[in-house]
Amino acid sequence: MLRQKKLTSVGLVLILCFSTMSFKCGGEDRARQLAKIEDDISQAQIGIATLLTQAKVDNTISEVDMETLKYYLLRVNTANAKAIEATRKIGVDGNIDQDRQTELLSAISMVSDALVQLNNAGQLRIKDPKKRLAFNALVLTMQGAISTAVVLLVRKEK
Amino acid sequence: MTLEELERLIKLAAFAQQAALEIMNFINNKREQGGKTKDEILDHAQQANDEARKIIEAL
Repeated sequence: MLRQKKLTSVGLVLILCFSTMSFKCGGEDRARQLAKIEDDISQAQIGIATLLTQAKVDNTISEVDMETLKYYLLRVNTANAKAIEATRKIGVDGNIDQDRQTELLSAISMVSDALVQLNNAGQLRIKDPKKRLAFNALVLTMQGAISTAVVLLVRKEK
Repeated sequence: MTLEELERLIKLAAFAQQAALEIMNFINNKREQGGKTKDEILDHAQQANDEARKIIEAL
């Protein structure tokens, strides 16, 4: 009887420990996924900037069009920098409190807004079809990353 | 079970939990990002973002 009580107590304590552990691991994973998303957005920007540099060399884009695209691309860059800064503030336990969530959603929203305008401008101003196709692919990558970030942020932790 | 035994058991469980957490964090940190921690990924993202900015400003 006493032995059974001991085993039950040990079992209950272990269940409690493992439940707490899975919650903490989920939080850290979310923060790492956000970091990876921001890295993907950074890489996509390099891709777009590189193809625009090539368009400038090829003389397939006007100076006015280039300035417009440059403006929106810089806005994406600034917003992503804010998102990186906000993600860095997430503690080692991966817990995203209300303030941090608001800050991150605001930064992601800025990236999204700038991306929509960049995309619209790019469709009109990038005349070379191959470059426009590459541009579309990179914009899609960023849009997918942003969608994933929003899902991660609004999802309730179990 | 006495109170002292229960207290000792809880302390042991807490120690085991901490060790398990350390192991899980270690395993998580060795996943698809090539073993990088959150901060290492952020450093990489920051560097890439800064590099993008330089290329954009040179356009």
